[in-house]
Amino acid sequence: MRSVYIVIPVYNEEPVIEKTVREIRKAGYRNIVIVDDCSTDNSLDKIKNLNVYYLSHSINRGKGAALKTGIEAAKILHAKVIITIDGDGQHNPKDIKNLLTKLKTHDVVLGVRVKQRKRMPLLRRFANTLANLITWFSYGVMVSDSQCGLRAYSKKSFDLIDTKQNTYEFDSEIIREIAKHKLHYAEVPIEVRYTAYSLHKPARQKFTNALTTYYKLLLDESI
Amino acid sequence: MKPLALYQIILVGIGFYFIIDRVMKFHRKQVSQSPIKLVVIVGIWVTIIVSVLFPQFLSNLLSKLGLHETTQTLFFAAIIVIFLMLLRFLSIIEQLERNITTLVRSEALSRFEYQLKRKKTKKK
Repeated sequence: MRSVYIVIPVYNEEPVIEKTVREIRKAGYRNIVIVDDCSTDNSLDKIKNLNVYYLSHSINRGKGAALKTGIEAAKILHAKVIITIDGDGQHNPKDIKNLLTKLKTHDVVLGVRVKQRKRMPLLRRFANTLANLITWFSYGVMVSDSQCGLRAYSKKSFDLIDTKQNTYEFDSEIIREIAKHKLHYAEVPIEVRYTAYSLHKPARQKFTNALTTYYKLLLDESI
Repeated sequence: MKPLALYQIILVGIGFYFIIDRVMKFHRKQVSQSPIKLVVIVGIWVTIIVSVLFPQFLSNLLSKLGLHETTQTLFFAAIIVIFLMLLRFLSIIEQLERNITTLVRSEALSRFEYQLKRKKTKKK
């Protein structure tokens, strides 16, 4: 547990960040790295009082960029395992245990939001399916949930994985890196709590996001 | 074969310059070069050279595509040029975005390391 670091990207999560951190601590994880992606609310002030490792972006760069910053910070702290989790409290930290168990025999463990799939808004479900198909078509890796934020990385994998995408394309880019480096991955079903708060946030899994992801990953090849 | 007109010589020269430049860059394994980029750029310039050297070939091809009218051809060519320029601009913007992120990250990590050092010093 001492070398397990939880990385949380945060952008305007003032109402829930305290509760999210409290839950993670309750689940037994003390090493928490929070990256504030230039929130416009008081998220950063709250984070400063949470007794966690924190970093802040001076310009809003997106979830993918914040995650990469957090992973780099965890590396500085000599992390051996890195868990990424969303800052809006939609993931249940109790699921981390299952991810860590699987990580003993795999390089990367991906959370799969299957437990409450029926509760997932229809548009999000459609966008997620489309993103999964695009990932499969592009990299030959068929994952059940290419956009889930709860993931676990071994040292081998986070040393190898090199991402460039700033926003939600990051999640699909990870799949590309898994395929590129032939990493062993596993999928673990996780719980997702769709609260009024998380549902009222701007939807991350819009239909257009799936297409943007594909276009950006293609553009990535041409840069 | 008819003798080449001046504009043909100039365009073919420019085309060869860019193809050789791109192949050399790829050969030198410059960081920004990828096989896809090489194929796309060389493909575009080869098409331009073939069109300039064999305008009849292009004309026949456009006829088969139903684009035999000159204005239509110009319009079609303009769309392709605009599309290529747009792709190029998007690519440049994306690269700039990434550079900004690298700077922001580097600044955030520097501050983080400084905080860690201060904490360690205080503990001592």
